[in-house]
Amino acid sequence: MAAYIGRRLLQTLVVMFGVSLFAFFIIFLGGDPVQFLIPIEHSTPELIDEVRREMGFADPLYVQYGRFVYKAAHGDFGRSWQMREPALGVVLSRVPATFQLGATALALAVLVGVPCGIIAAIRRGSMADLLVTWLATMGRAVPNFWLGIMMILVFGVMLQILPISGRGSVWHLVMPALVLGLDAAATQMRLVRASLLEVLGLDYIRTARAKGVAERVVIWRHALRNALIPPVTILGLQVAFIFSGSVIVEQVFAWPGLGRLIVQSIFRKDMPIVQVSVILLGMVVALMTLAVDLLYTVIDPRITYD
Amino acid sequence: MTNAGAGQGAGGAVDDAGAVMWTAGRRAQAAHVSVARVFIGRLRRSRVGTVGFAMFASVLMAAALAPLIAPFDPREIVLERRFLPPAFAGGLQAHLLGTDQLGRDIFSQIVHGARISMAISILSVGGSFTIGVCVGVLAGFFGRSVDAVLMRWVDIMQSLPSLVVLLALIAVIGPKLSTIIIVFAFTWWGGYARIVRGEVLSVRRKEFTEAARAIGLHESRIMFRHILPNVISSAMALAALSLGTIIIAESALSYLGLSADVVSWGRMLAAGREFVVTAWWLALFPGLAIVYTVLGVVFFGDWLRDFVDPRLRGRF
Repeated sequence: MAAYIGRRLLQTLVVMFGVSLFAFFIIFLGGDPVQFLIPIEHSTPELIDEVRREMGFADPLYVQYGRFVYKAAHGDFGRSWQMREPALGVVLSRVPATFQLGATALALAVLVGVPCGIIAAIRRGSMADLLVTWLATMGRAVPNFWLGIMMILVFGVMLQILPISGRGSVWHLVMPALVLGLDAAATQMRLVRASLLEVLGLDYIRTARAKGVAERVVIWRHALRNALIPPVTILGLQVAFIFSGSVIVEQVFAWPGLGRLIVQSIFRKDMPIVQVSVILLGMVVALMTLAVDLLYTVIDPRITYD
Repeated sequence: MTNAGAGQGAGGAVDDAGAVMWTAGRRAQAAHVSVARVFIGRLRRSRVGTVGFAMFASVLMAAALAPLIAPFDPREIVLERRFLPPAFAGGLQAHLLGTDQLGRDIFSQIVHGARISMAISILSVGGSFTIGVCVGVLAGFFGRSVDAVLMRWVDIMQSLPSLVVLLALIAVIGPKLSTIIIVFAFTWWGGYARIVRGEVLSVRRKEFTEAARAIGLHESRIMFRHILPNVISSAMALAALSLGTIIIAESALSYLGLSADVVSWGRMLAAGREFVVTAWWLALFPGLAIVYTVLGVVFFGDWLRDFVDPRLRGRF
């Protein structure tokens, strides 16, 4: 077990290294970063050379990468090219808004998705099952940002009961969180239903029923424990999806979070901001995946890692 | 052997993991029935699968025949016909679904917009499928350090927020059709690699692989002739479902302003968001087009997945 945790930690470090490498190279994607930093009217070969040396872009790439990692480890990602403020500070100031939105969306997905999936599996073939199956299918086919626009149309424009953009009261949170949680909720419904149906068909469940164990106990004590393993394992991936989704959902609802900042920064070629965001999001996803994998060994003792 | 008989033959082979389609194909070949006929025979017995296939095929037809179907040039700006509501909501008969902020016909734009969606989704899925299957076979077959390196690579890719990566790459390189397809193909293969690797690991220990090795076949021949056919079907099911994911991701990118063409569903939705207070039809219809297409993909993809291996149901 300790060996497994150790190896899993090592893998996470490798993933972090890869993420940092990608983030490092982002700065070169748009061509020569130095040219971009100097206004065209002041651009002379001498000035370009001077800035290049000053900013360290004249050093070999591995030196630059080493410096990038060293500084990043000390919380220094350079300054935003647009806002002239430390990039990390700019990004961190947007995190609470996105965290609030993402956490609400994930909570909705689990609180709605899991019970719906359970009901659908227990009452297989009923109206409830049909409804859940349909909801889950529609959840995969409906783009969340279009659903967002449609909800704005219905609840914001026609009924005028919810604010259509910005952040402020709890009411501002309702539509973006619902829209952002849609994908994850649909996936949870589908996985819980499929997994519980599979487990309910296994021999040990038949044994339990044959022994005369009450149906309630069969489902809650015997079946669910095993059936919930697959849905739990993909929660880590779903956090990644939710962050990706927040990029566009925040755009639709003008939610002042990280996603919106990323889109703006990419279009303004403000690369330090994009770098910090990629590293931050990559780290969160890597750590979530690690946490879920470790949780996995706790909830499923059958699994032994060689 | 009749069509239905071949279908039942395929049904009986479900016990061997992931190999149904190819087993069915082999049996069918033996009986001089084509793989396609077995496939169609099984598809026709599933109403949802057939409907999904027909829905997707209809979008494909619309894309192919767009100039014939669309009553107007989708790029033609007619300012005096701006914001015309749909024909059934008080607009002109000529503009079935109304016009947008520049007087362009919505229906014509939707029909032409299918072209971008279809081109990008089909070609990107083809590309990422090829890369992913190759990586998965290599990782599973060679194991050890090859496996470790390739799978960590997949881990890294799947830890990066996909939409941000796509956005950054495409914004920088420029939203050309070829760029978008290449970027999608190279960022989306992780899923195929994972699933194929897993299948290779289980097939590698089977007797027929041992037998092939025992009679002295070359490693590459074992890999391509004996292992690949047995592991590829689950990746194919994933590919079918990925079409939908890519269609939605592409429309998200063009919603944000990175589209390969002026006429695309995502761009129409961006205009729809902008004018949502005054002109509801701008956002409604392109969105319905996306939902219709992706629903078709999901219906067909789910059927294909269950056909290939019912045990994949809980996995994607």
